[in-house]
This record gives sequence, C-alpha cells and structure tokens, in this order.
Amino acid sequence: MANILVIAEHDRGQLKLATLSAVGFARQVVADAGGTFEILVIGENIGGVAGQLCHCGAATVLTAAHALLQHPVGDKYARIVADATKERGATMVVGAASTFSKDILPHAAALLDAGMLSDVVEVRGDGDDFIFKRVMYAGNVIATVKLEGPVKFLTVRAAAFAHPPKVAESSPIVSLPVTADKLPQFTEYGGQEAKVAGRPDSTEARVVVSGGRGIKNAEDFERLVGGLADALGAAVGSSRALVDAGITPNSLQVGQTGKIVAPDLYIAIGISGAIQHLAGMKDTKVIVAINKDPDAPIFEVADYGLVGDVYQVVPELTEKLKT
Amino acid sequence: MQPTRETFGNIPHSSQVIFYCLTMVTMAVFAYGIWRRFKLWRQGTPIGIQELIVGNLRQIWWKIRPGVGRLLTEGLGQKRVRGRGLASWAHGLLFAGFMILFLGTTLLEIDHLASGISEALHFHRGNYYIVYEFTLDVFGLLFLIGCCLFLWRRTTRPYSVGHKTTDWFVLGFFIAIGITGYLVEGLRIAWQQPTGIAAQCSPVGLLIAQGLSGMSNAAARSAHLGIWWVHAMLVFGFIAAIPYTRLFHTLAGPFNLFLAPPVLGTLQPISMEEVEKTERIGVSQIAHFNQRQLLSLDACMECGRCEDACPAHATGKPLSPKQVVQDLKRVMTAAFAPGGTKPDSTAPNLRDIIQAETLWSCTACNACVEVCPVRVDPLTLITDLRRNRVGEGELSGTAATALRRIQSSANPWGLPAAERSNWSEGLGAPTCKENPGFEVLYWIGCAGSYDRRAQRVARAVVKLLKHAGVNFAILGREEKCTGESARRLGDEFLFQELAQANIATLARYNVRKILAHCPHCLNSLLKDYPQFGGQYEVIHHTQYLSQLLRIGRLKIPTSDGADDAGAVTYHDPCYLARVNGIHEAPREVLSATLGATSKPAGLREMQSNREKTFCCGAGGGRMWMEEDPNQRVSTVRAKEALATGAKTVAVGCPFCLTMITDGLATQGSSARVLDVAEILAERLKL
Repeated sequence: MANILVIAEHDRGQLKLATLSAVGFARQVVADAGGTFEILVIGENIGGVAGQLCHCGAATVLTAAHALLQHPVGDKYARIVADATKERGATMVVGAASTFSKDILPHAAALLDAGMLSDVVEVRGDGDDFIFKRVMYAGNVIATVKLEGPVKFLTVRAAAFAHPPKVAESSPIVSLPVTADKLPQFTEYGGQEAKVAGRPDSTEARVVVSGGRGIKNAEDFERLVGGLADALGAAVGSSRALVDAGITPNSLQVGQTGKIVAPDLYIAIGISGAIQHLAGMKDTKVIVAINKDPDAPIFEVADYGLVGDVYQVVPELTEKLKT
Repeated sequence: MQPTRETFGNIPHSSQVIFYCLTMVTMAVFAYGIWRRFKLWRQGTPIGIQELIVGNLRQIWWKIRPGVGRLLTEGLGQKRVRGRGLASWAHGLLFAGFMILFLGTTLLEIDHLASGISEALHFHRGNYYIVYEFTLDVFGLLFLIGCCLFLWRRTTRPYSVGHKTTDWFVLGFFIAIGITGYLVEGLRIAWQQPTGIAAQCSPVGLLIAQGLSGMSNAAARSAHLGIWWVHAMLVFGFIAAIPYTRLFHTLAGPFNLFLAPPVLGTLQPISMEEVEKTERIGVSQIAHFNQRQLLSLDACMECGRCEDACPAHATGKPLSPKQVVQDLKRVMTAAFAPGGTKPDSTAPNLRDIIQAETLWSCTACNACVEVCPVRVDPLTLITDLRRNRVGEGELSGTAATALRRIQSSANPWGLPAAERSNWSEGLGAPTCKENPGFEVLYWIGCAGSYDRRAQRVARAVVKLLKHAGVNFAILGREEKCTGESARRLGDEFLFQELAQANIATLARYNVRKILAHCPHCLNSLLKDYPQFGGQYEVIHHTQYLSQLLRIGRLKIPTSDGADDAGAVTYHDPCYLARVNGIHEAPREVLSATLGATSKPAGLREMQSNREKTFCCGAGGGRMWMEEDPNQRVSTVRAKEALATGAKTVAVGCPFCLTMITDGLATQGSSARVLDVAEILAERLKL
C-alpha cells in the first residue's frame, strides 16, 4: 500500500511535462503495490494547471493557491508540501528530478525528518517496502537502495518513467487552505530572467536542434536551426564555435563547457563533432547529423547521417515536416 | 729591470691602513646583507641541504657533481644567458670583464700578501706581469662596453624587463669604477714613467698617460692618490650594495643553479603522511615553499624572458611568471622582515596575493622554466599554489567537472569506462590478455579512446604497427586516464589513485616498453610514474615509426604520382619537444613521407619550433577550461602555422590536434590538421 503525493511543476500557467513522469512513477507503484496517489499544485491562479492534471488517474488534485505562492520560493513551498504530506497521510512524496524539486523536496523532507532520494530510475516492491535504483556519478554507477522511515521523499528522472495514458474519469479538485502568517518569510522572490521566449530549455526538451560552424550568421541560425526546432517543437542549442563568433548567446551552448543535454532526439546541423561538444550530448537516445563533410567525426556517433549542404537540406526538411 | 709595479705604489701607509679598515666594514655590510636574505630562505620547508656533505669525499663529490657542472656550464659558461640578442652580448661582456677584473684583483692581493712574507714569493713581475696587465686592460674595455650596452638597453628596454631606480646607480657605479680604474692606471704610468713593454702592456693606461704628458710628476702623484681613493670607495660601495640591489642575482643565481635540479616535466609528490602531519596540501603561505624555492625568488632579476615566452601572457591573460615570482618575493621579504608578521600565525594567505585567474591561466607548457637563465621554476610555484586551492575546493566550473569525471569514469569527459576500447572494434588490435607475449604496449590515452577525431590517430597507429608486423598489445578497457591533467591542475591524490591503479595493471602484464601517441601520457608514464614504482621505457609513436622506417619495416613506395598535398608544417607539442626533447623523430617521419611524393613540397618550420615551441593552449588542465575567444592561445599558434603557407599542419598530440583544428577553423582556414601517423598511414594507403 502506498499513499503517494506527486508535486506538480508548472511555469506561467503551463504544466511542465516532466511532472507526468512523476505521475507515471506513481501510477506504476500504485498498480504494483496498491494504494492511491494525489497531485499537489502550488501557486497562484493554478486552476488551469490543476485542470490539465484531472485525467491522470489521481485520487484527488490538490491545490494550494495564494498570492504569496505566486513564485516557487523554496521555504514557502516546502512548508506547503510538508503540511500537505502530514495532512493527507502520504507515505511517499515524488517530484520530477529538476531544479525546482532539488530546491523544495529536500527542504520539505528535512521539515518532516524524512529520508530523500534523488534521480530514481527504477522502483520495485519488496514486501511492504520498496527498492529503488538511482543514478550516481554522472550516470556511471546505478545504486540499488532502500529508504528508511515511514515517509519517503524522492525525485525521478523524467526519461525513466513514461507519461501515463489519460483516463476517462476526472479527479476532483480539492483546495487546501493556506494561512499566510504560517508561511515562513526567509526567502523573498527577487526576479526571473526569462530565456528566449517560446522555445523549451534544451536541458529539458525531448528534441534538441543544434547548430555549428556550418552556419554562417545569426539570421541563418534562426532560419535554419530555429525553423527546424519550431517545426518539431524542439529546443535549440549551439556549438561553442557559434558562441565564439557571436552568432548565438552563451546560454545556448551545448558541450563540455556549456549545457549537458540528454534528449530523445538530437539533430546536429553543421556540427563537426569535437569531443568537447559530444561530451555535452552523450546521453542522447537518437542522434541525427547533417554536415557537408562526410569525414566529420559526428557521423561516427550519429544514428542517422545526412551528407549535404545544410543551407539546402535543412529548409527542405523543415518544409516537409510542416506539411 | 723586469717589468712590474709596486702594489700600493704611491699610496701612503696611513691610506693603506684606512683602506683595509674600510675593506672590513664593506665585507661586514656585504655579509650582513647575505645573512639577511639567507634567514628568509631558511624559513621555508627544509630541503635537507646538509645531506650534501654527508659521507666520504667521493660520495660528496657524486652528490654535488651535477650542481658543480651546472655552475661551470650555466654559471661561468653563461649557457642559459645566451640567445637574447643584445642583452646576452651585454651580459656576456660585462660578466667576462667583471670576472677577469675580480680574478686580477684577487691575484694582486695574493701577490701582495706573499711578498709581505718573502720577496722571493713576489710573482707579479716579468712576463706574468705583462700578460696580467694586458689581459686586465682588454677585459676592462669589455666590461665598459657591456655596461654601455646595458645602459642603452635600459633606455630602450622591452616591457618585460623589470626596472628600479637603483638600477641606474648600479650601472653608474660600474661605469665609474671602470673609468676611474683606467685613470688610476694612466696616472700611475704618468708618474712611474715605465718604458718599453712595461708601459705598452697597459695600452689604455698608456694612452691616458700620453694625454697627461704635460703634468708634473708631483701633480700626477697627488692626482693618482686622489683618483685611487675615488676608485676604492666606488668598489667598496659596489660590494656593499650587492645584497641590497639587483646585483644580488650574482650570488643567488649561482646558488640556485647549484641547487636546482633539472625539473622539466617532473613534480614533487605529496604523501598522505605529509598532509596528516602538516594539515595542508600545497602552499598557502610563503613559508610552505621549500628553502630552494625561496632562494630562487631572490635569484630572479626580472630579465623578463619568462614573461616573453609565456603563452598565457602573450594572449592577454592575467599571468606573468615573472610577476608571480616577484610578488612572492615581496611577500617573503615582508613576512619575514624584522618586525614583520611571522609565518603560520598572521602571515598573509597567498590567496590574496596570487589571484585564482592567474593560477588557472597557466598551460604548464614549461616555456618559462626552459628559458630562465638561473633555473627559477615558476611552474612548480604555480602548481604548489594550485594544489592548495584544489585541496580547499576552490576550483569550480568545467575543470572541476573534468576532475570529478576523471574520478568517476577514469576519463575527463565522463564517458562510460566500459566504452573505452570501442574505438578498436574490428581493427584486430590485441589486448594484453589476448597477446600475452607482446613486445610493446600501445598506450591509447583518453583522447585516443573517446575523442572521435583522436580515435583516427589511434587507428592509424594500429594499422601502421600491424603493417610493420610489430608484436604489440593494448590494455583495452583496463586502461585508465594517466591522471596527468589532474596532477597539473593540482589534484595530486586523484593523480596518485590513477597512477597506482595503472601501475598495478601494467605490472600484472609485466609491461616494460610503452608506446604512446599522447605526449602528456608519455611524460606522465616517463616522469611521474617512476615516483610510484612504475619504471618503463616510454617512447612516442613518432619515434617508433621513425625507427620502423629506418630499419625498413615500413617502406614508403617510390614516387607513384601521388597527389602533392601542398606544404606541411609541424607543430611541436610542449610535452614532446620542450619537456622531453623529442623533435627530430616526427620531422624524420614527415620528411621521409613528403620526400617520396612526386613533388616534394617540403616541411616548413614555424617561427617557434622545437624546444622554443609555442603552446596550443591545452596543457596544465586548460583543455577543460573555457577560454575567452579573444584570448585563445590556439588562435595565435594557428596564425603562426598559416604564416608558413602550409596546407597541412602536422601534430603529434591529440590535445594539440583539437586546439589547432579549432584555431584554424576560427581563422576560416581550410588547412588540414593531421597527426604524423595519419599522414604516414595515408601515404602508405593503409
């Protein structure tokens, strides 16, 4: 029996898809061991997000809405999570492995004196208890662990648990009372630096389209890489060469000295495949490379390769995807 | 009458007494000055200098022999001072003049004392006198010419040459000493009136005397006494000033030459016991340096050669090896000065003196170490400081990530250890298990194992070895990162962990001879590993290929109308050419390969080649750090390569391969960058 509380993550009215992996985890545990799960949405004006979660199979979708909770501030959110855990009698609290969860769940676990596991990729029952597998040392070691205590906090890797199919019946939405003066005031929201609007973050996206030295200027990058990315609903990335040349901003760089991405699909456009770049995308499931140089090392790691001029091939590909 | 002159001729007895009294005072000031610095050096961790004088004479001789050798060749022979144009000439002339005048004065005093005992011991006469006077006259001129050249250089000095106001006084003193010396001689000839060879053996003095021919004997005598005193006072002033001015390098420099072991490519290991005892790793306070390192700070006289050779400095990074040495010297002087703070209690933390950006800018290329005339070793100072910062967890960012990955996956990219030998699939490269009777172990290194580009180099080497029928093996998945980068970054214990694991693996297969295509692996296996019990014969693949070509096991087909790929230039990797002196073998392989094409395009040399090579920017862990696009070492080197007009840049190191490829690409060049082995394999159509 498990009574699971899933913490939903959202941004500007949009549910973060990784939350569905946490729901997938909860569904699996409940299916194996019995019990129910609930989903907790915290914020202000969260009706829309709660609505998006109504067909996930949860016993209840809980909402904790208050003006003070407009932004994900660690101390306040953790208090809400801890209170909800106690009140609902949850035995397991789950979030997707993300910066959001890293901030809030350990904090909440500490408030309840509970154990915490991060980056869980597998779970199975062990009598009344559970055995988890979690990733350590940058993916080089998989640890098999048990967690002591009546309440377990954990984060799950998005790629490890599939999004659950929708269910017909709708979960009831229950609003939790929020008392403003009971919320801690240690942290204050300062501001948020918004990234290039519209496109997902490359570290979270399931598809990343990335451009390299084969692209000559910023307009071409936006047209070729951006165009293909938008057609796929993908994030954009870039190699260091383009950042150096001032064609792309630092925030897009993928590689050893940039972001580490692990999407399902990575499309490398005009990227030669230097080890520093490959180090940033080595956990990609499927790599597609487009480059005019058939000797480019990228073709050695690519699952699909296309030798051709990116200026000709990419617009064609984008066009076909659109139709 | 045989030619001679009376020592202290024309100098009254009273003046002589005062002279000797002043000599004693001067020597006291001189000795105090040395003692003052000596006390500073003694604050460092002991280097066991007394060990040098333990044992019988023969044993002592064998211990001091290398140091004495360095004193003779690099001190007296000025071996390391050469090679800097006018400055080297100026120093050579000044040094030669000074040494001969110093020797002459010493001989004169010996003669004076000897004659005091018995007139029969008086040797300053006859033919000896003639040779003596003539030699000193000529070398006096050389001394003055050297001074004038230095005076010229100080007015037009390059930025890297240090300068203090006292430097003008030092040069002024020297010139005044030279001129008054000649005047004393001229006036002596004017009153003594020697004739024939006795006068001609002092040509400069004679010339001056002829100019003074109108002077009465009495006037000449009194002028002689006066100028003699001026000359003597100047010499006293100069001797007393040595330990207090830049001239101190004339003592500290030779001391350092004597004590400094040749260090290129080696680092002192740290033991766990040492850390437990001292409760620190590396150096955070000036007294943590060893006594020889502190002495070396005084040996530096700011000639600036290290700064001019430093690739980090050349690309605008906040590092100058000279400045590091001078900053530490300032801390040493202040921390130990009377009334100054005492070590360990309130001594300044070097964190506040040498900035993090400065330390992490170093590519560990050894150019500064190689170029220093008195063997100051800024690189070891930097590495000792790095060790402390890494130990304190102050290294963050991508280099720290690389260290973590080296620890978790035994390669700096964090790629799975299980995939280490994927590159060799289908090549037929046997592992040690599969071919236990191998003669030579081919060490692949992390780049060759994981970097798709460098894998091609490893594959080319394997093909060449198989073609030549070499009985070799690889470690496959059992190989781990050598830890070279970790050690140069300052993570000594991570390095030791890897070294011990690798040494155990190599011992299991009884490995004696190792072939490596990576100069960093090569240097680590050759110079780091013996410190932990791993003794191997380690050779670079270019050396091995050159041998195979020489003995005919690899044959380049005679001209078959192969395409002329255009001119080739070769970039010397620092850890191959400078640190380990391997620069002819790759050129031999390239010349053999190019010479056999239908149109030999030839090998073109870059301006900085062989030991004087310019770094690609990847050493010392810089490979794992972000570098401002406007400050890239690789760009500078790529430009130098392109200036030769070469269409192919040959390299002998996987890091250089990455960096030069990147540098050329930013220049929009289409020149190819290939390892020497790839060029050879291509020529052999393998």
